Amino acid sequence: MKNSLHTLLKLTNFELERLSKFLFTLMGLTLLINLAGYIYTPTQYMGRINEYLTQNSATADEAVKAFGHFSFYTVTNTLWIGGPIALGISGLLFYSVFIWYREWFGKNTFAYRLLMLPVSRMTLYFSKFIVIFIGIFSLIATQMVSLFIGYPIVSAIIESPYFRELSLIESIQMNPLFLFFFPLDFGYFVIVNGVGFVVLLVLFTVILMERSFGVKGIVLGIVYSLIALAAVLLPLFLPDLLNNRYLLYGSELMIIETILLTTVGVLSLFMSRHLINKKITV
Amino acid sequence: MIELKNVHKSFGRKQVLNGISFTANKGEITCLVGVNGVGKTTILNAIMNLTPVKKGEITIDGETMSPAMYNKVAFIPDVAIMLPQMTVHEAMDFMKDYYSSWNCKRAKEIVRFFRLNMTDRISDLSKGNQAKVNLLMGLALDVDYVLMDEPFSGIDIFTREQITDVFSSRLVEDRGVLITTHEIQDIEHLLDKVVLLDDGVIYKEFNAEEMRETEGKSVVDVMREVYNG
Repeated sequence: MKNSLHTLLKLTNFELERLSKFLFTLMGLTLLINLAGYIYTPTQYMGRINEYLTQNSATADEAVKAFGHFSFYTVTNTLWIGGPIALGISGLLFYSVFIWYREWFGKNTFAYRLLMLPVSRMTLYFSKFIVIFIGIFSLIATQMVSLFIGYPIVSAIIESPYFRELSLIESIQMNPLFLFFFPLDFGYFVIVNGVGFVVLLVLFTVILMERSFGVKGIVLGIVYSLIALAAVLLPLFLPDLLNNRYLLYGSELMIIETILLTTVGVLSLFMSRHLINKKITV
Repeated sequence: MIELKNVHKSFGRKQVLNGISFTANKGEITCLVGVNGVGKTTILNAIMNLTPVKKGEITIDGETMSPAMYNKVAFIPDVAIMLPQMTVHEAMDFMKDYYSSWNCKRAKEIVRFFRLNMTDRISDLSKGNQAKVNLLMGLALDVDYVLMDEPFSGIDIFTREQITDVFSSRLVEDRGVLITTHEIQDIEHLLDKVVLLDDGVIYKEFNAEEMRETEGKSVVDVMREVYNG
């Protein structure tokens, strides 16, 4: 047990080293684009305000009436922040696929070496899985750090009559995208990450199906992921489908969803174990 | 002893192995011969659990393949299998990290034998030197069996001579070697057993030396008889 854990840590560290360049690029881009947004958006706003004031000899109150107040939320609601988040999601989604296929289609066929390591192949699987989650949390942390850096920058650029004081927490609470990625409620945090876990488990299963059965595996994978998706989404749409809004209480829905997500996750894990141990081919 | 019993394997509708049974013993060099696409590489991959078989049984000293067995059997494929950005030294460190059977002393000996430079990146090496690195990764393991797939494929004559020397050196002494090659004439004199494959089945299994002594035929002669009719 101690040995397996040690091997898992070694392999995870090895995978992390391979991810690092890509991850640091994503983190750097996130910070850079965010920073540009923290400067560009309020500067542009102040430019419009100043132009208005000069052209119309208006007062600050009149300018606020015309353009509205500027709060930190104004920046976080732009593409300068949403863009890097989308970039991070698509980047890590791409890496979740790449993390497997590079072993087969890289310059050298490293899949041979990895599959011949004297360790359980599930250790290999988990090392890749953990690394993706390290990537996700690193990007979330970068985004959070960026928000802390951004707040004083924005408040320094916007002159006080035009600035609406909103705390960082309030800015996060107002933004549905942030609420999804940085849930302030622990229960919601568990759900969001649980869904992420299951999505990754299903994706890995689909990849292993393809690596095991080729074209047939792709078809199988698509069918499996559609069934999994339908199973998880069905209770959410059931009240609408049956025209009965009161079919399920919120707590009941939560329990059903937890059971379904756990079932899909465990099933994917077992299928992946079978595939990587018995069916995968170099 | 590596033992295959009635092994079947197909790729789609194409039946590649159709009831293959043979053994490869420790201390002997067994060679799988046959034309391209006859299933030689598939057999080695199947032994290493790198491709699943449809039917049949493969055992190594009576046990089926498990992760722990990779410390007992080494496979040297005909493609580079370490990360190209690794240096030879880093590749050796990687092996040392994961394989309890990695023998550092022997690894250094092989590096000297092949005149490899430890600081060279694998991607910068010639095909011949990449083949040597592959051999290094397999032969430096203290294993009972070594499987080699086309070790002479696409390499120059001098590297080929160096690799041939490996077979008569103590690097493979006492081990069971199972090899596939088209360059049979280079190692024919070193072989103990030859397994001739044709159309997914074993056409003939014979002792190379006995064949030479009793029938006066080389392995290539036997192959000509089979494949040229």
